[in-house]
Amino acid sequence: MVREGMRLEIKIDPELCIGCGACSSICPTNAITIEFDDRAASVIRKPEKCIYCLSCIDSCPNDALKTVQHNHVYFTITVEEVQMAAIKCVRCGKPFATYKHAEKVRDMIINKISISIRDVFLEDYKTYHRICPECRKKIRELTPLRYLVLKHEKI
Amino acid sequence: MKRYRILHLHTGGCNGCDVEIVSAIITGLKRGYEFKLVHNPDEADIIVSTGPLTEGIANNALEIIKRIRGKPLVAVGSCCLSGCMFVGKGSYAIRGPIGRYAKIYIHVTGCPPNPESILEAFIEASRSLK
Amino acid sequence: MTLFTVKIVEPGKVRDLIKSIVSEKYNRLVYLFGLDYGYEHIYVNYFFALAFGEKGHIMIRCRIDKADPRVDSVSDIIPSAMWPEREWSEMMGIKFVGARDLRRLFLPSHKHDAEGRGIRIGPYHPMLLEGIMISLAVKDGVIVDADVKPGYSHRGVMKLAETRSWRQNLHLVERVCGICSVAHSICYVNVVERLFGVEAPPRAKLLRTLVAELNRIQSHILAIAVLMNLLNDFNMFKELWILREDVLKNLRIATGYRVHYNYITLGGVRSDLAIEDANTIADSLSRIRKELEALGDRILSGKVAEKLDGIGKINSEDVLKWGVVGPIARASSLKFDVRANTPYEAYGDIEWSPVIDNKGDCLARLRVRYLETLESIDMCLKIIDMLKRIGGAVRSRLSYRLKHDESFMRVEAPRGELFYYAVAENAIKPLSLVIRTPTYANLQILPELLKGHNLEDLPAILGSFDPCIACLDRILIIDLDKSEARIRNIRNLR
Repeated sequence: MVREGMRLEIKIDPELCIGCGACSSICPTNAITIEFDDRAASVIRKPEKCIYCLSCIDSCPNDALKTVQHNHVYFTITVEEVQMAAIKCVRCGKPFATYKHAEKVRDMIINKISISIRDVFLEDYKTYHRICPECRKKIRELTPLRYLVLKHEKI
Repeated sequence: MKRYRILHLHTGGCNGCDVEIVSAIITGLKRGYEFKLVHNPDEADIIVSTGPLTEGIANNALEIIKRIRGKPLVAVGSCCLSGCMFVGKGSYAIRGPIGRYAKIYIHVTGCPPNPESILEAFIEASRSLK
Repeated sequence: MTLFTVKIVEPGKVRDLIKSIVSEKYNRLVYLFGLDYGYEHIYVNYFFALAFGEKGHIMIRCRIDKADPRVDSVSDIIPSAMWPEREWSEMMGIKFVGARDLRRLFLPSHKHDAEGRGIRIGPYHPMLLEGIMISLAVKDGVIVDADVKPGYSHRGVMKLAETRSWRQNLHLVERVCGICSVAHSICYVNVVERLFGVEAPPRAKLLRTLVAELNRIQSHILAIAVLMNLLNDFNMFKELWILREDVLKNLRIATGYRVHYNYITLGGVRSDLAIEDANTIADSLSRIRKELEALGDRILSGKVAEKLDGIGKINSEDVLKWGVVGPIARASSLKFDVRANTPYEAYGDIEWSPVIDNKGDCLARLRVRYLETLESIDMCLKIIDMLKRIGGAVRSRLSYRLKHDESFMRVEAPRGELFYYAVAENAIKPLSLVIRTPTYANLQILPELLKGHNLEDLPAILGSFDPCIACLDRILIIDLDKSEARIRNIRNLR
């Protein structure tokens, strides 16, 4: 991957991107960012800020960032944008994550816990994934998911 | 052999792009293009700029930009296009990318871009001169 | 394991302690800087390398009040402390009592800096590759006074490094300079690894050393080519540049990039080198060595070399007084090479020796650079040989717990000794990062050296110094005042 050299451009695959924001937190120049507004989450990439360090490709959990051949000469530079649906917190109304991200996290956890408690986990998760992290700390009615899983597993 | 004259406007970068521009010029000699580096803005046909525009060199660089209106400007490197990693939180010494003060004709992205890309950009700019 | 000794003294006792340290011949001041943690005091630090580092390092620290930040100047004892005192008095507001010269160094000033001087060269000039201002006073063709003002490429890297994480800063420090970028990378990575108490595996150290030596080869060839161009030998410039392209092809095979290689990471390197690629690099380097040997006569005794003979002589006492580093110090008969004095990475495991010359003039500096290039090619071939025998991982995991609060590192960049120092805020980001580059140390002697020379000798002397101005203007450090959330920037100082 490192051997390919400089005549390449980075593209986001809209089918595979889940909108998790791992690439935007590691990018040293903020060339790729994720923004939430009322209607959708957008992953925006600006080629004029990119230094082609390929850290975003290393950090993507779903392999959604790929390199293509390109000669780097532009008359006008266009910004690349991928949009997807965002979850709005049921308690405070702020959008904080995307549906695809929540599904991916659910699929990653469910294979690591034993079959006997999987339906309890799925039931709790349905409520869990609609509450933003700040509100989760303020609610007392929900059993902490971590406590529930720890009681039955040795993680 | 086609001959053109280039002025290189250096605005405080790290010199990575400058070194690749020299490589691009020497590669161009093998393909029948002679791009000669001159130092007088009135004699030049094409202008090349590298580097983010630092506060220290801003006054001198902006004076030269006033004298080159109408000539095609090739901006090489990510610093030149957007300031790259030197702008953002904690930055105080950058006056902003050169795109705010002059009209850029061709952008070449990369950090630094390959000499072949730079040579293609020069050839494109030279086509617009006729 | 302590990395260096710290001695805390009162501001009034600093001068006597420093006089006793530099009374031994080979103890040198590396850098002088100030630190501001955001409370009511400023700490002024003096970092010394004892016997070029072979006997250890010592840091003298004194604490002064922000309300009245005064400390005695030491620039009469150590002339190489003049520029650091100018820099830190403008950036942090420290008042050095008794200093002779406290003009602004990096920040732009409103009035003309070269008042009363005759000729101004720069910042845009056909002789200079980058922006710097040299002002000269000339009488009958002989230079009587000179002054150097940097600051045209100042981007504020030290301040930018405070707002980014350790991992993001790796890409920032690489881009301080485009010609010696591997040295900055290796120095930074070693500082962070020392903070966390991890070490890279042996195969990774060999690969890092290979890339560092390839970088040194292309930097020296560039220095020789630029010197030839300044003295009007354009054909030699072209031949050397085309030879340098072959070295960059080898770097592309090893890392994938030509100028900034995102190859060295925290804990090791990013990918391994296959054996076919290693053999390709070895064959290519052998061919480059033969071509360089064939050019040796024209470089070292052609018509350009005649113009350089006997000009710009520096003797070894001045080298120690003014803090000159790198090939310039080695050309004046000092055995000063960080790779030999305090070995790091894989330099202690292979057989090599530094190149020393004792004439001290411009031709001696050219000879030192040329012979060092040949020595580096031999080192690369030995490393490729060792890579066949030593296997293993190329990356080790970084822990999340800090072992030390502060650490430093000195490496040998192509132009001389490079020094980094970092203070950690937590495991995610630094509190401050301090950089001192070799060109900073070398250019202080230039005004003194130019006095008495003819004006025509200026390109020869400047070319033999091989200045890298992008490295020189790298930093500025100002801290956030935590109790009041006020940022002290250049508009609030002085």
